[in-house]
Amino acid sequence: MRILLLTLLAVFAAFMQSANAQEPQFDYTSFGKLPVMEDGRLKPLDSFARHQMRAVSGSESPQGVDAKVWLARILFDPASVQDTPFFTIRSAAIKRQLGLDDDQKKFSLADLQSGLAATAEDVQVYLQQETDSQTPEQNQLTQLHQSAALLTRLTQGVSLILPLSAEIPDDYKDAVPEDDYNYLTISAIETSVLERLRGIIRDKGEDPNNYSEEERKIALLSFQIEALRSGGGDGNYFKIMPGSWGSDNGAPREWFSPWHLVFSGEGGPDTAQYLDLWTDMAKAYRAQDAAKWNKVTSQTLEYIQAQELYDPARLQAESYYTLIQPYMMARIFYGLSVLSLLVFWIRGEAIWAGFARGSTLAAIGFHVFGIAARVFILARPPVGTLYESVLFVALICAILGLMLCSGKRAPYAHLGGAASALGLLFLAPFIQGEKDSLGVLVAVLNTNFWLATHVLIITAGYGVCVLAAALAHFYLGLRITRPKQDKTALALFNVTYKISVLALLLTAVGTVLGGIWADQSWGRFWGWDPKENGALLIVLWLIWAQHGRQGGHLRDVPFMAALAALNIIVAVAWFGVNLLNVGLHSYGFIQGVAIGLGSFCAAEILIIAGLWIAVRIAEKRKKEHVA
Amino acid sequence: MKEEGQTLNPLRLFEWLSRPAMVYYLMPLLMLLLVAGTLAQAEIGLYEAHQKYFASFVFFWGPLPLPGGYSLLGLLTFNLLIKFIFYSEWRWRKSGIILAHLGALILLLGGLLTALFAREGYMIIAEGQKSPYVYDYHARELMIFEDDQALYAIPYSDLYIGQHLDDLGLPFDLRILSMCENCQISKREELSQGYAPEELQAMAQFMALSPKPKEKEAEANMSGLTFQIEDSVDFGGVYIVFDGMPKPVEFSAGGHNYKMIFGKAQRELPFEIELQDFVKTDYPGMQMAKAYHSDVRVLDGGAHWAQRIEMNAPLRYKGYTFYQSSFDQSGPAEMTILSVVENKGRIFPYLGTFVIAFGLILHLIIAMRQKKGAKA
Repeated sequence: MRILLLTLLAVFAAFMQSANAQEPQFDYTSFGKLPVMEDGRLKPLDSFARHQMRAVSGSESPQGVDAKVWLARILFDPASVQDTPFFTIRSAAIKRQLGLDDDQKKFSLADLQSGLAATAEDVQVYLQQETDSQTPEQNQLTQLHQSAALLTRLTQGVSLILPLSAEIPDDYKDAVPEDDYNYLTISAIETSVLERLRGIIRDKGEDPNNYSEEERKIALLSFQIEALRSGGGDGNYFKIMPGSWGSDNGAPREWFSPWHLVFSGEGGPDTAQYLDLWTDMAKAYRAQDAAKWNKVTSQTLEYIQAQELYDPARLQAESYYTLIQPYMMARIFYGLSVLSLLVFWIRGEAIWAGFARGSTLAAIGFHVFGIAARVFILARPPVGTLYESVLFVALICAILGLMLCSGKRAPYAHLGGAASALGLLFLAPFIQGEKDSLGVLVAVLNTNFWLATHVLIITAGYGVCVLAAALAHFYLGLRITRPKQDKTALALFNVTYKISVLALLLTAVGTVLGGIWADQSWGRFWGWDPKENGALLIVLWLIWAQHGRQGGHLRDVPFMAALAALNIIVAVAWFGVNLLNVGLHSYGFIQGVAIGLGSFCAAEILIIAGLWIAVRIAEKRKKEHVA
Repeated sequence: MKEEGQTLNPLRLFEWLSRPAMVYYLMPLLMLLLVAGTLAQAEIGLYEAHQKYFASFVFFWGPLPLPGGYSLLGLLTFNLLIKFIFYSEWRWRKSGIILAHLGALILLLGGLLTALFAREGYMIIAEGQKSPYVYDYHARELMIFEDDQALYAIPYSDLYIGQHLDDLGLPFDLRILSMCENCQISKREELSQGYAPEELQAMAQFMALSPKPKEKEAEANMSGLTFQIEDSVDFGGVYIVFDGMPKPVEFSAGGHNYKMIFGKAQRELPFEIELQDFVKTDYPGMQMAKAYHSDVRVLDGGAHWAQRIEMNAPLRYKGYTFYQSSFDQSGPAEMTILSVVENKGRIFPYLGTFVIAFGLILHLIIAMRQKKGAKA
């Protein structure tokens, strides 16, 4: 950590000639579409920039700053980064520990440097501990160090092509280009300069005051070369250079950082040409020449796309996906739909039902676009992670709710579907956390056939269960006002019953298909692992409720209470089993899910019990009234 | 009371057992079992929980005895069978439900067959090597060889402390002194266990085995035995054997060389598998595997052919199925680990799913058509 900070200082020193601080009208569109490899997947630079920005400052657009613009500045003008307040610290304890002003919230790297250096050793100790055993302060301090280290690493992303501030000693002026020399262009004289410096130190010691002007230039240049080398050697992080250019042996193509290519000597003529374009981009940026920047970023994009090393359409789709933010839009429209339906319910004016239908259709449009875009970008079926299952279940709820809605009837199914979808879409970001939501899958899940059959059917089953539970809640609520089952209540009962049969069909078939996948993959149909048991629990609950109704044990209200409680069973089976962290399915463990799940289940139990008791009281009153 | 007395006949019992009410009462117990068995996995691991809750007739939840998986699934199967054969309403209107019940019955019977006859194990083969041996995940055995010929493989589960093995037809007797399913290995100088130094033979002179709590992952247990060889002055004494012990117990008696090895129970396939190449493909720039596969050759008598085994695409041959389960790249040669399963009931889930799905879809269609008919 300490080395990183020292390196950062050296990098700043190297690029002290900061670019003009005023932002010109640059077009960052092409820049944002350039390919970067991150987390095993090629993505547009815009997505990469968003993840980095979120990791450094906790938000994808702090104060409305575009992530691409933010990254361009860090890459091409690293010296300007030092005094920019990227870091938000709220904890007074952390501020005290780092010797910071208590009234301030935003801090720059320059503000943090001494505090981070002083706490570096503590953080090394925290890093050896499990995250769960850290105190909140320790955890925040560790994260702060990691953010600072990440920012430092980003400043070194393309530092080898940025102009150096040190003056070229006279003896070497013929060997390097006259202006805009950078690490790459002076690498030819690197060995000689370092050799000369060693000679100077041998003869005159380490005090620069004893050096001649020329010797001082050599010392400064050597120092900058060393600093850049050690910083650049820190990792293979900013992977923009395709490896094995021109060859296609069927294995996934590796991508490397420019520094890695230089150190490993794996570059070729194509790499050099691509890096030249990046150098031109850096020059245009630093000269604040918007016209040149716009031209060279387009050229760079055209050049890399013309190499046919990847499918640009997928990256393009990801750019649109990020730009449109389909789930945010879907949330807005589901929200509008729910509000309109509530107004319709209260006032009975048909226009609200029509408005709700339009809103839900718009929301479903965005929702489907979001899921379809993910399928295209990741080239796999829509559900492979817990986050994706939430998105998919929400869609099922909304579509089924809309399909079952009838203008003549009270819009319970529509409302249940839209409200469930809205709730689930709000839940989704918490499930995903900080990670890239477009992640790659572990090998056993990397199978399109089973993802497209078992996973889709079981998650559709979850969706239908959620809808059935929502309708059962409405039914219980309705029966408070109508203690004797009337036509409306009966219609709602019938539709909920049918949905519960569909839920049983999907969850039963989905569960057994999961067993068949297990049989195909690792040779046992059923292993009683928590996720399997969770899915089976839903099936058993539905079978129990259906047979209870069939055998006359569960009449209308208790039967509906059992269906309402499906929400609890589904939540436990879907999220709860991840808490156990055992078996082959525990791939989606989420911190803090226990509290959320516990609260949800407790609230549901109270609501269902409350509704049931209220219906019973209403029934009793009705009887007394009749008597 | 009189009426109740009259109902006590087998037919009435059959009828009672076939009622939906049975399912209604069985389901909460089954759900309770499921929850208890699932929660227990966090504590005692998957295998132990499976044995205690699902592969048992009774389990104890605290002091409370409750029916285990075998009892509940047995009762459920019985209920479904009687209902299906004797009390199904053979009418078109009920056809979907009847089929769904038939599907469930097929699933349960398949489960029974699997529980009774399926055998699981694994093979571990290094690149360029071949093997006919399948190792059990859990069962251990003590193998006795005479002049390199396997004479006995005595299952660990058949052994008990104090057992005197004098009927093996060998020039010596064996007595089991202690056993541990998961052993702690200690230095003999720190743990004499009451044995005089002159009694101890081979590894037992330096090491002592004592029981320790079982691991959560059953495969991680290291089992072992301490036994005594009697009736011999030359090599009589106390020996130890345990899983993966680097040197077998060896001695000569009656003109023969004897060797004893303890470890995972193994059985021989009627053919061999040779690993030609193991390939693991990572996601670019990550240590995370995208996929892995083994290119093997099946060697059966004079015939041999190449086959690829990969995640989600097993090899099936002569009733055995080989799955790409894991790998070991730590040694000089890459090794593949294949799960091997023999399961005669594996067709049942496929059939059961199809029948259930068909039945429930039919039921939904019939219910919807009836509704339409009623409206008309």
